[in-house]
Amino acid sequence: MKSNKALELGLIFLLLGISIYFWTLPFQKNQLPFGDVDSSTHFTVADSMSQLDKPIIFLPAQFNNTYYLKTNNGKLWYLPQYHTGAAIFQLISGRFVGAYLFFALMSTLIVLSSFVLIKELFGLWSAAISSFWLIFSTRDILWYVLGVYPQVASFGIVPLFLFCTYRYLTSFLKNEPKPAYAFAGGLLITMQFFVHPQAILISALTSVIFSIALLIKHKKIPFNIKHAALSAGIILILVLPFLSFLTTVEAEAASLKLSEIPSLLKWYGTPVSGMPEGYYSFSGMHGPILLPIAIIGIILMILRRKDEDLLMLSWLFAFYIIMHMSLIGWSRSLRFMEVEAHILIPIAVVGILRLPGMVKMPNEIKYLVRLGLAICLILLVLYFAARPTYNILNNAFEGTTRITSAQLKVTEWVKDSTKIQDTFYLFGTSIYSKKKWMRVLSLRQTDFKNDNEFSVGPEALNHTYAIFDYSDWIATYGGLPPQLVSLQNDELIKFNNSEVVYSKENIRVYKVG
Amino acid sequence: MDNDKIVIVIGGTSVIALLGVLFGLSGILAGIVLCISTACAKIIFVKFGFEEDFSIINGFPIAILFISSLSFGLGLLFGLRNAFYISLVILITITAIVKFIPATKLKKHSKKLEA
Repeated sequence: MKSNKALELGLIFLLLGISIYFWTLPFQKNQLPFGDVDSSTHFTVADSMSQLDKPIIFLPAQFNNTYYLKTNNGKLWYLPQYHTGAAIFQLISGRFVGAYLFFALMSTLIVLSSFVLIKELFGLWSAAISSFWLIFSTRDILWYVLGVYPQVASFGIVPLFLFCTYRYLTSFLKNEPKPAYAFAGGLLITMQFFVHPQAILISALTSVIFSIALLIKHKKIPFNIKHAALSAGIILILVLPFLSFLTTVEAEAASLKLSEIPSLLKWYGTPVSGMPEGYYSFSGMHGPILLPIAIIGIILMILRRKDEDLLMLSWLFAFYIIMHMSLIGWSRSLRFMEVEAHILIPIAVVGILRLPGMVKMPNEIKYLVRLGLAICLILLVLYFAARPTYNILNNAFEGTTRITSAQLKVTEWVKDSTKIQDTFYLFGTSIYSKKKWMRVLSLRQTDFKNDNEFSVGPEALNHTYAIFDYSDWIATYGGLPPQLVSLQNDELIKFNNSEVVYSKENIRVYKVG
Repeated sequence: MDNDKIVIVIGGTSVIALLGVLFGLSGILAGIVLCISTACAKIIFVKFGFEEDFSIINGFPIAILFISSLSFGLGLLFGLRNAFYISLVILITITAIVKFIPATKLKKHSKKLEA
């Protein structure tokens, strides 16, 4: 028994080590910040706190003249804990490594939280193999790489909540109630609220469906109202001091949409715009092996229907319901799709490892067959899941798709040499997401057009400074393309009498006027 | 020291070492904060009767959210860096207090709740 415990702990640290290695690949070689459109906004909330050495309640100057100000009346969009945590890591480990280490550690939470739940439900080896597989969950990796979204961490808390739910409800049904798990469940919902409230929906829906399933199976209400009320009280007390952050609620009116009924026959319901088509491809996201063995796993669970099977099936049903919320007019299913792997991977692993138990053979042979299947599965995971995700992580935002050191230098000059109320107009930077990075790294209001501009418009002259950044184009093409040459000519004409205050590595900053 | 504790110490040290190899001093410092905060949360949860693996895995997010909640409030008065140090000291102090509360007292309290 003792050696088992040591083995469990050893596996936890091994999984943590592998997760850290893989998920930090995007900033191991190049430690400059990366990510698509929303990563810069999450980064800058934390960065503003660490640069000022002060927590912020309202969005900082770099958000002036952006739509972000409208979403929560100028306040931070979420409760401040997640971004404050990243700011603290910046103070400990540096502006970029600190923030991204925090994002990576929080985003890989699903690997270990799933281990706890699946070990409780189906044993150590099912837990170890499914957690190993989850390290390479493509949708989780995409949300993390593209935008360091807090919801990745919040979805990672779901298995811990379900562990507590399972422990509490099953102990209650055995007349040995363990209310500590109900209270821990309340604490975990609060944590989800602090990180990103979206994932609370899947936690709550799964626990409701599971409770109903237990009620039907055991013909007994599986919880005590007093314990549930105390858990709700814990959530209320912990959340109350931060409620003033939420000034608006983006609620979509619920109404039955009959035109969406056919979408019930599609696994992903009605696709929502915002991600490429491949995001909706099951085999594209999970590889070719998950679907067949997940189906085996689901069938075996439906046939078995023990409490632990019912929990996994409840989780899957909750996912299905959320994917079809368009039926009542809601369209937030896109982000929930990363939950699919969290449910189906453990179901698939459990299904495969249960197969030998269905055939009559001596126990020693059963053990060897199970071992063989486990080894085969690990090899398949390495080939079909680890290899492609390694490429995504290792090659994330290479070359000029990421902010360059020349661009970082000019933003640092702006941050250190200009006043907070100064405003900037940015020309030349090659892509929209990098323009956003230029804005947030300088911590100043920086305006630009989303598309590339090839002439100097009058709006640029209404700012304190104008930045002309040709560095990406020259690094990529070895010179300026014709349209950029016309921008440069316009720059020389319009800013002929303006003072150049910064000129390095093909980036110039003018004081306007 | 029993086997479990040896594995925890080796595991924690390995995580710090890995972060050190990947990110130098920045990684080591982050690793130390990761291990200290997780260890504190783990000690508290285990004392309240939760399993060791649940307590460890729950430990980091819960400890960091505790620290960041406190740091956010205290940071408005003392600056974020100082607030972080104060919060860490508070977490360590709470852990020390919980560690030395006799387990029987906690069990009595939990029996009351069960009733």
